[in-house]
Amino acid sequence: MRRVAVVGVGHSKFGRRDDVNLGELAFESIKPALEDAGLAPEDIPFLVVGNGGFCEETLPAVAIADYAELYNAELLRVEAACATSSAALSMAYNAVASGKVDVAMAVGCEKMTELDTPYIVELIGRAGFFFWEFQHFGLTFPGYYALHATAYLNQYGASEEHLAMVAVKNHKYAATNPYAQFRQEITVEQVLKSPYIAWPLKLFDCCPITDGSATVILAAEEKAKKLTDTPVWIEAIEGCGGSANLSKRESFVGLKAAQVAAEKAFKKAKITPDKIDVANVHDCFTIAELMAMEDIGFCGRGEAYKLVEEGQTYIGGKIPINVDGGLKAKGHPIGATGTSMIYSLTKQLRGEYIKSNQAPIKHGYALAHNVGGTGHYAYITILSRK
Amino acid sequence: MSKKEEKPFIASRPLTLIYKLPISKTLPFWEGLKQGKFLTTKCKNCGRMTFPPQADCPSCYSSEVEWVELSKEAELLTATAVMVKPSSFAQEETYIVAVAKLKEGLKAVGWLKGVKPDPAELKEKIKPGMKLKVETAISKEGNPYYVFVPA
Repeated sequence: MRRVAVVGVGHSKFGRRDDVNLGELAFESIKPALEDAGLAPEDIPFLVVGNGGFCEETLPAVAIADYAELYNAELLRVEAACATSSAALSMAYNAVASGKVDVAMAVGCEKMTELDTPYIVELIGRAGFFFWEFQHFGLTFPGYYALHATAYLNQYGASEEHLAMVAVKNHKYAATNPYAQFRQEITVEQVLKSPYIAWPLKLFDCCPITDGSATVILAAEEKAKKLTDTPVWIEAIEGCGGSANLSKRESFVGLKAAQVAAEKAFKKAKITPDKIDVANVHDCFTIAELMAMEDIGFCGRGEAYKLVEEGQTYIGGKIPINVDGGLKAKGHPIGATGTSMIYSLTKQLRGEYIKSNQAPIKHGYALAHNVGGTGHYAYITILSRK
Repeated sequence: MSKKEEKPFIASRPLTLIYKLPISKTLPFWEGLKQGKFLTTKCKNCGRMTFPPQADCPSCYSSEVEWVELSKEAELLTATAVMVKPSSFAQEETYIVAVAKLKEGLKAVGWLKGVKPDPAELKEKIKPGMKLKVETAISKEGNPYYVFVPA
């Protein structure tokens, strides 16, 4: 397998993007990614589109490739729920690492606001374990994570206030991220006063419904060195599936799939969690950020909420997490979240991120943790600038 | 969070989808519920019990499974109350969904009735280990299902 680098990244504005259709939205990240890499559309021989399937297009990859006329590329679409574009990146990585192609593009794009909110809540709720959980009992995604939140709070004695602290941090960083959906800071009190969506999770514990796209272009080592002076290397991209049906789950205080993916990724990259300078984790709900910290191994079981309380997840702390606003406040366009994480972390490692959001880069490693479902899929990507 | 004005759009052609969900291989479960029984599958080859029931053993891949009756005794593992509901549950009152551990060691997801879905009451009552029992019921749509109630 060859070494593979990120050579181009692009990002659209996240939010309620009812001014654009799927192809137009994808174009907003494809164009800057090509410019960043110094490549033309005909230079892309392999294109993977990540799309969860929440808009009218039955064949989203076709709509996106056609709009940008990326006609030279082998084309496919992948789905891994909320980890969709990490899966897309993994496919692009394999195509380059294997020697099949020298360059590949992963486009994550999702349009979610074309349907009114109750229908989106319905469609996402169906994406747990449909027959045994949704059909009969109407679980929603906030509900799935709320089950984990109840278990976590009961087991470790953490409080709803700790969950609120995660939201406050992520809003703080989204406020200075021009691509973010929510650009205002909030307080713990505001979170605690917000209405319950799925007890014990409240409105401000939940990520919004978002439209957005993010594109990543990969190249093989030789090609990458010709294209850029600042390649960001993929040291590992490892995935794992997990139990869909909650009744088959051993524990509700962490996500097994993420634990396994993290173990595999650290082994492949030959580093330990303390070498990570900055991380993006899958904070679709505040509880998810706490579980992610423990699943990755940034701290022990039941310790994440203490790190949050100490402010260790801010820039300047032990491990800056989601300093682009995270899913919680930057927004969570399901199929674009994975590549959006890679966008932020690539900019971080190049040292060219938004000044107020730039984390100090000491060891030269960054980590993306992207979960699909409640651990139905998980991907861990470790990037380096070495 | 202010609601922005909607941009110009054309409404798509409407599409209503109703899928026919096959239950041939788990029919004894649904028939059992109608008779007040709570059944599941046990592999005749390796003895693995599964919940929900499934016709093929996920441990040894044998398709020789038998139906066994469960005790209906359970204890709570975790729960949530769904305040913001999906469109197809819009007519329901706020419902509590629980994950419970059955006496037989299996886990099951289902509605928890008999507890008020009020945050203060939930905080007080929803504790791991709470004793529950399984009751069988028929939904408004006429489908058999099961619920948990405090024992």
